[in-house]
Order: sequence, then structure tokens, then C-alpha cells
Amino acid sequence: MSRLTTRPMPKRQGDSTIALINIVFLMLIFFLIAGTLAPPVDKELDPVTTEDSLPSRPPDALALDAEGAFTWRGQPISVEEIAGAKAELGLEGPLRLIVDKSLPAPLLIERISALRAAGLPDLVLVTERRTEPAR
Amino acid sequence: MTSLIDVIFLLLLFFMLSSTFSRFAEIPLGAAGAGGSGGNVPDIFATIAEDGVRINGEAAEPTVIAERLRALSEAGAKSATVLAREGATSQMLVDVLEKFRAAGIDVGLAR
Repeated sequence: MSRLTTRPMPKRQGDSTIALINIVFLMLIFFLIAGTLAPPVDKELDPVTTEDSLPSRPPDALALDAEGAFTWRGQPISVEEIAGAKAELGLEGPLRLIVDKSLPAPLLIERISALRAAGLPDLVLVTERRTEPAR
Repeated sequence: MTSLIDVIFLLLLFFMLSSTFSRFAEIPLGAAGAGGSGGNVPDIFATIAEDGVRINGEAAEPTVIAERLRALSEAGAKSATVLAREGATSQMLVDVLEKFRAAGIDVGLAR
């Protein structure tokens, strides 16, 4: 008799675990599809935003902060080291550059010509895309 | 059962923490020499300063820049030089570069 009354208990526990797994699994699928994996750029950086430029993949990019200092994957780097670091990682194509929006423009132009002088003539500026145009 | 949920939970945590949701765009900055080539005279000369943008010496409000560039492009302008003065930020510069690109005008950056 007593066995009969205790029998439904383990079954119910199993059911709730399956429900939990289902929810967690759905969340996992959501993050897999909606998010994109990318190496971190500078966390402090507030990138330039644009409205109607060509969409691009997330940046594995050279960051240029508001004071005009370069960082690569969170580590400070000098202009001379950049070409070597890029070759070491096997990155093809143009050098991708992500810039803080409050960096003075004359300093940005100076840094761009410094990069070109250091043997990296092919540059692409990565910006964050505003989804809703502010109009 | 518990090990399965553990693994799924760890995967979920990994993807939650490492994925980004911001969307990115890119603007090619052109090949070397596009800015510094002193040979030919550009059709349009624009300056960006703290108080706004001037196209060929005329002050242009942010809202009319695109329109004016389109008019200049229709009139046959093909190349432009942009000069950023002290006080202009990168955001202002990139906004203007984007508008030049949308109008189909080649831009060089002056130092």
C-alpha cells in the first residue's frame, strides 16, 4: 500500500527536470543563433556609429581610444608592432580599425597616416550600426 | 539526466557571456595616397570644425549636407578633400565621410 502512494513522486521529479532542460535548451539555441561570437575589442571603447554603411562582421579589429592610443585585443600596442601582430594572427585583407567617437578628428587622420607609413596602406573603419535611424 | 543539464547549462552560460549583439558596419578608408596626393585639384573642399561643416566655404547644416552633395555630384563633382580642424571629433568626420560615399564622391583626407 505504502509503495503505491510513493510511486508517483520520482516520476514527477523527472518531468520537471525535462521541462527545465527544455527551457535551458531553447535559451541556448536563441543565444547560438541571435548572438555572434567575436574576440573582444577594448571594453572602454565607445565606437563611432553610422546609419547606412555596408553591414559587416563583428570586428577583430585594432582599437583606437579617445586619447589616440592603439590597443589590440585588449593589449596596448605600438604602431611598429601592428603589422607583425596582424601577420602573426594570419589575418588576411585590410586592417580593420575601430575608433572611439570622441577621438579628435585631426588625431585620427594623423594615426591613419602613421599606420600607412608603417606599411599598412589598406584600412577599413569599423563602426557600430544604429538599427533605428535617429530622424 | 543531471549531467546533461549541467553540460547544457555550461554551454548556455558560455554563449550568453561571449556573444555580442551589436551590429557593425564598415567604411573603406581608401588606398594610400588618396589623401596625400597633391597632383590634381579636388572638385569639392570640405572642412569640419567644432561649429559645423563647410562645403566649398559655405556653411552646411547637418540636414542639408546629403542634399548639397547630391547636387554637386550631379553637377559633375567626382573627388573631394576633407579637412578636419581642431575641435572636430571622429564621429563628425565619419558622418561626413559616409555622406560623401553615399553621394558617390571619392574622398581624400587632408592633414
